Amino acid sequence: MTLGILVVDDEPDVAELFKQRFRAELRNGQVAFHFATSAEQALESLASGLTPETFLVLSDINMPGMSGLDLLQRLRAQSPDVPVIMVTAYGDIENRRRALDIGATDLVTKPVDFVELKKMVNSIIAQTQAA
Amino acid sequence: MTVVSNDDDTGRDQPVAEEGPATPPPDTVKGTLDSARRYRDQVLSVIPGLLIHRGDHILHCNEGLARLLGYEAPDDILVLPSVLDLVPEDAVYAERQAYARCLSGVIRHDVRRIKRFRANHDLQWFDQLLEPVDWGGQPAVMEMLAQVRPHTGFIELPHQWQRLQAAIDAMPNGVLMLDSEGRMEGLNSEMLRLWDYPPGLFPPGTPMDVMLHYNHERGDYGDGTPSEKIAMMRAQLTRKGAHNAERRVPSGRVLDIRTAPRADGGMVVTHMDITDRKRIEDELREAKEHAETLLRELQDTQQQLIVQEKMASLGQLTAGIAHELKNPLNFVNNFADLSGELLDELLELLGPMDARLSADARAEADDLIDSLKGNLLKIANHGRRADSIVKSMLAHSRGGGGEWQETDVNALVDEALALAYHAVRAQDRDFNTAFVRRYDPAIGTLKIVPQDISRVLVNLFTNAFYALRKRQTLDSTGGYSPTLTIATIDRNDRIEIRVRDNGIGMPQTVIEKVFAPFFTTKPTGEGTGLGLSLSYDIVVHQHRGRFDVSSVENDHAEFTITLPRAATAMALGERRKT
Repeated sequence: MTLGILVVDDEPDVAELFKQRFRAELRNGQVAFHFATSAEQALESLASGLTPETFLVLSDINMPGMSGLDLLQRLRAQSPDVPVIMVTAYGDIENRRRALDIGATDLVTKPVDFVELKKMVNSIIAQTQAA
Repeated sequence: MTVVSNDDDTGRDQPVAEEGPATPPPDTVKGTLDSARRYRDQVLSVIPGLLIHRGDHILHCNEGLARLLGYEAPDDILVLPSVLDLVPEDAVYAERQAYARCLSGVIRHDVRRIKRFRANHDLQWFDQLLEPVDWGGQPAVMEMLAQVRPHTGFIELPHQWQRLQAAIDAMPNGVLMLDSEGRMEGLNSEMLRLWDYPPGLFPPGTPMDVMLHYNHERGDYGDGTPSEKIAMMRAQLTRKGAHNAERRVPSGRVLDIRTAPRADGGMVVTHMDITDRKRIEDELREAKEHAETLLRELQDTQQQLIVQEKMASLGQLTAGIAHELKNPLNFVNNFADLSGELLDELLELLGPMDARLSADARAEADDLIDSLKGNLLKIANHGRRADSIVKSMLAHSRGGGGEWQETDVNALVDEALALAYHAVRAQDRDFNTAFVRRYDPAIGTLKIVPQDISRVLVNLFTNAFYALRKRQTLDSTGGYSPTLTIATIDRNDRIEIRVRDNGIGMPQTVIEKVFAPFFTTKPTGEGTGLGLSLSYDIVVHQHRGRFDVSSVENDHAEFTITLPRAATAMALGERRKT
């Protein structure tokens, strides 16, 4: 089964980076990526339905327009079952606290450590499948 | 205010004591009673005014005094709040002295020439005698005042001369007249008062030398030998032409003394009381000095504020740049890493190329691949270096999230020292230095952010070790022994931490820039130039302290951190947000 991961970041090169970092997982069909360059676009995509179905959302916080925290709030209301991992800036204690308060499943710190992220994704997969 | 001279009109303020033979004998009882009253007035006019007081309080006053001073009745004087209300301002000091001496039991036998306010606030000269008395079981001052009467030496003088005497007595300045032989010809009441000479001390014709000797014996001229001092004074007083001098006299007043020659070879010496002017001058000078000190302090503070502002805006700029660089740099590092991985995978996929390439081409391909791998490694290394710079820069705007807490300063200093020493020894096992620790136990605890101050201290120690190592490697004599001195000092409302090394020191040009961001004396790649800049931010902006530096090249460098005991808790960077 292929798991859909929606990555929300205003930097377009993030798509290329994720594709290359997860190239092994992509090749063997474990995961599939969807990308959105704004929170608004992410909500649109989720509403229109993505294939494969979105299993995990990974979102930046500081974006033009709607912020990652606003997106998180909307997602918690719309689809409380989808895990959301927020990407926070180094040392930004205030946003980390707020993200956890709103209901982020987990946090990763920029610059993203992909080894850590992969572990995190795997543990969420394991938990969801066990449930 | 005028000084009333009264030597020629002693009866002016008295009821008429004697109406001459024109008064017919009384023919009624009322007439006889009036006659008796007139006789009483006559007696009163020759009885001295009497005033008894202790401290400033007037205890008793007789009718004679009330009459002398022009009051209706003694009660009008008894209601005065203080005996000094009768005394003009410029005589208060001298009168207080005289009263105090009298109260302590010292009996002075000669007369003092003094002036007093009359009821209508005119000034009048009197002759005064003071005597200690017992009043209600406690000592008090009995003050007797009498009309000024001409000295016996003057009585024979012609009427013209007496009028001249009245005129100079009315002058507000002290006047002394000398004839061509240097004999005293006349002086006025103000002169007697200023110099505290009893009236009658120097009758007309007294040689000037006698007056000078009197002054000397009284101690006016200090300890000098009389002959020397008197000769000098005499020379001054008899010099032709105007002569000015400034003196403090026994009445506690400062005088401006001027001598002016007379056409007949005599001399007029005037004594002007300039005490008030001197006092005002002193006050003005003090005020000026105070204002100048304040101005200097203000300028210092302003200078400090300018430096702080500069540092703050530089820090702000630094943080802004760092923030903007962070994301692109992240991509560079990630893609550099990935490119390395992809290259490895590509080579694996291609498999051994031996079969497809000629030996030359294979060598060239291997060479290219090695260069490519090397380049990727370089990109990754330099990317990491840039990343660590960016992280330090960001630390300027964001604290490590440390909490303000009461911290044992001496323990914190020692801990940071151990930390920095371990780090430097890990790099260079041969490095050694002597430590001098002077921890003031009175410091106790201080409310600070320990993580941030520790960062500052580790940074200072690391710099000090660098300077010590540097001097050690440059030293050719072998007589150099590196020493690091760490002192903590309690200054009540603040504390000081001093870090002094006898390393290579810094020239003035370096000291000036030492706190500026990106300024470093280390070779490229070894220092970010942000250590002291960040430390400055922590000490000055976050902890409201001071950061001072002094150094002599090839001798020492000393950094002093001053932290206030009562600092308002503030997060690093918080000031900028506002």
